[in-house]
Amino acid sequence: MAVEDLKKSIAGGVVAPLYFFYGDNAPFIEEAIRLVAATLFPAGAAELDVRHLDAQSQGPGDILQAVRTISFFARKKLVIVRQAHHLKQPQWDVLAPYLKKPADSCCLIFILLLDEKDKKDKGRIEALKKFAPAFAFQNPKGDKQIALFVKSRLAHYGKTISPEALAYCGAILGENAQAISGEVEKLALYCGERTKVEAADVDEVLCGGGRGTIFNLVDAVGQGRLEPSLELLGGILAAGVHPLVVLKMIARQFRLIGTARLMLDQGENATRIGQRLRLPEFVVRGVIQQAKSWPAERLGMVFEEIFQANYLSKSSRAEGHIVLERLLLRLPELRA
Amino acid sequence: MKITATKKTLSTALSRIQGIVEKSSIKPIISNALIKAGNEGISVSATNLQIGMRATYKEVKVEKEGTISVNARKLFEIVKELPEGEITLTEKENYWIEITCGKDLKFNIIGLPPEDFPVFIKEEKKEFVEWSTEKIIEMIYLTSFSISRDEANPSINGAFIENIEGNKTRMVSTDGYRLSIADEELERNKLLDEGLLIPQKAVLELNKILIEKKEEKSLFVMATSNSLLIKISEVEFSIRLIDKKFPDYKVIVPGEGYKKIEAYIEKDKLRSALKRMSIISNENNRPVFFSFKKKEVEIFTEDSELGNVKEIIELKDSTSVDFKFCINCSYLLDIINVLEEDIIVEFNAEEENKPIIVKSVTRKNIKYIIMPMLMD
Repeated sequence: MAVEDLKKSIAGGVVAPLYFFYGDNAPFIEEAIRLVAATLFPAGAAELDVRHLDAQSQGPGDILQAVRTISFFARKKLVIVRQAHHLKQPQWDVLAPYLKKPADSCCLIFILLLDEKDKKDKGRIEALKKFAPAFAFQNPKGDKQIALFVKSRLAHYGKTISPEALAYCGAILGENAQAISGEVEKLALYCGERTKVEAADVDEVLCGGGRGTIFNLVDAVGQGRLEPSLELLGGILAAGVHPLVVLKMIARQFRLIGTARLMLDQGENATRIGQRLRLPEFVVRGVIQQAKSWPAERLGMVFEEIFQANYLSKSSRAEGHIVLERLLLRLPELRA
Repeated sequence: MKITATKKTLSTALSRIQGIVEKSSIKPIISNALIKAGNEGISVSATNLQIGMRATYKEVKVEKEGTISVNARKLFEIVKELPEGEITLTEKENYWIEITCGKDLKFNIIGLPPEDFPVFIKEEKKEFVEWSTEKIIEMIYLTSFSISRDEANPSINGAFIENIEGNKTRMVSTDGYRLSIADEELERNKLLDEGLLIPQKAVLELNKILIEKKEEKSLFVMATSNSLLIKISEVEFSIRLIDKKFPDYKVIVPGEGYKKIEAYIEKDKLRSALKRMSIISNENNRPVFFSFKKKEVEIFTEDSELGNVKEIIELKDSTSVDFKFCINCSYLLDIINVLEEDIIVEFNAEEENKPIIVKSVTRKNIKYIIMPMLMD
C-alpha cells in the first residue's frame, strides 16, 4: 500500500495494530502519526494512552509492557517506538510472538528515520519489514514533488502559493523534507494574515531580499539586456543566493520562453499560452514578449549553454559566479 | 561583600541548591548561586527558571554587605575540599571572588554580574495558607513514585494537587500505567479548586527540603495561577507550574456502583513473593499472573529465556468469586513499599481488563489503580 492510500485508510478510521514507518521525510512521518492519533483519540485526550518509546534506551520489555497494558481511556492505545534500528536480532526475537499476533487493543508503530548513510544500509530496513507492514516516507524528488510538498506544508498553515513563488521555492529549497518544512514555516509566519504566498515573499524570506530579485534578473536575461543582468546577478549572489539556484531559475525562464515560442509558431494566442503556462497574466505577457525575440533554433543553443554551465558548476573547480557571468555574456550573442 | 562562615554552614547552604542549578546551560547565570550579605546574615538563592530556592543563614559574620553570583557547583566542590573551620568569601574587582581558609589557602574564582540573576520569587500580597508539613511529606511519599518521567508528555510529568469535597486536598500522579491518589485534610486554598500541576523535579526537590525540615510543624503556601511559593522556616521555594491540563483521572476511578471482589493480603507475605517473582519478570517486564481462588492466591510468572516461578499465598479472607489478572509486579511492589499496612486488592467481578484497585486496609484516604496487562 502506498503512503497516500495509508493516509486515506487511517482517515477512514482503519488503524492497523502494527506499522513500520521509515524514510527520510520526517515531517510526513510525523503527519501520519498525528493522523493515527487523531483517528484513535478524536476527543484529543491522549495523554494517558500514547506512549513514546526510544529503542536506543528502551528494550523489548518496555515495548511489550506498553502494548500489553490495557488503555486507561481509549478503546485502542498508541505506542510509538522511535529509532527502531537500535533493536538487535535477539530483541526482535523477544518481540516476535507479539508481532506475529499483535493485540487489537493497541496500535504499535516502529519509526526509522534514515539519513544518507542509512539509505545504503538496506539490510536494516529489510529486517524491520519482516515484522510489520512497511511504509516508505521519502524526501520529495524533482521540481514536481518538491512543489507538491511545499503546497501540502503550506496548506497546514492555511496558505496557498502562487506558481511563480512555487517555482522559486523549487529552485531554492532542495530535496530535504525537514529543511523544506522549516523554510515553509518561516514563509507562513512571514505572511501573517495573508493567505497567499507570493514570489516577493520567497525572495524576502528565503533569499534575504537581495539587491534585485531573481525574477528581475531572469526577465533581463530573457530580454537580452546584458548590463542590468550582470548588475542584478552581482546583487543576488552577494545576498547569499547559491549560483545553482540562479542557474535553475534561468533554465526555468528559458523553458517558459521555449514553450511560448513553440506555441507562437503554431499560431496560438496569448490566452492559450497563458492557460498552458499557468502563470499570472502579466508574467505571461512578459514571457511572450521575450519569446518573440528568441527564434526556436537559437533556443536550442541556449539550452546547450545552460547545460554546459550546469555541468561546469557541478563537475569542475570553476566558481559558480564566473560560470554564471560567462553564461550571461554568451546569451545575448545567441539572441536574434 | 565580605563574609565569614563555617564550612558546615556553607556546605549546607550550597548542598541544598545542587539539585536545582543547571549543570550546563546556554544561560550561565542559572548555573550560579546568588549570595546576598545583609545585616541579618546571608541569603543563598538558585534557580533553573522552573524551580527556585532562597534560604537565609544568620550564623554568618558579615564584614561588608553586598551581593555576588558564583557557579554553585564549583563553589560547593571547593567548600567540600577545604579543611574544617572558617571560610571567608570576599568580592573583588570585575566579579572575582576570593575564597580563603586559614592563612595559607586561597582560591580566586570568577563570578558573574549579580544583577543578571533572574528574579524568581516575586513578593505578592496574596495570603499564605498554613499546611501540615507532615501531611505534605506523606502525600508526596505516597504518590511521587508513579509520576511519569516522560518530559515529552508534560500533562502527566508532575503531581496534580486539587481541592476535593469534604474539605480535603488530593494529590494524584500517573505514568499512564498506574495512578496514585492520596487525600489529606488541609487548609483550603481557593486556587486548588481548579487543581495545580507541580513538575516532577520540583516535587522531588521540595520533598528533600521538607524531609530536612520535618521538625517544622507547618509550611506556608501561596498559589497563583502559574506558580507556587512555599515557605518553611528560613527556606523559600518557588515552583513554576506545568501549564497543561492533568487528565480527567476521575473517569478512571471506579465508583461504588459495580460488583467488585476484594481480597485481603498480608503485606509482608506478598512483598516477599513479589520480590521472588521480579527475579524472573524484571528482565523483560514480563507480566505476573495472579489467580485468586477462595482462600489463596497463586502468583506465577515466566520468561522464555529464564524460566518460571510459582508461589501460593494464603489470604486472610476467602474471596467470594475466583478471579485472575496479570500486571507488572513492580507496580504492586512500589505500592507495598510505601504502605505500612496490609492491602486489599479490588477487582471488577463482571468485566475483564478493568483497573485493579489497591487499597490500604486501615487508611481510607489512599487509593492506587494499576492497569492490567493482556493475558498471553
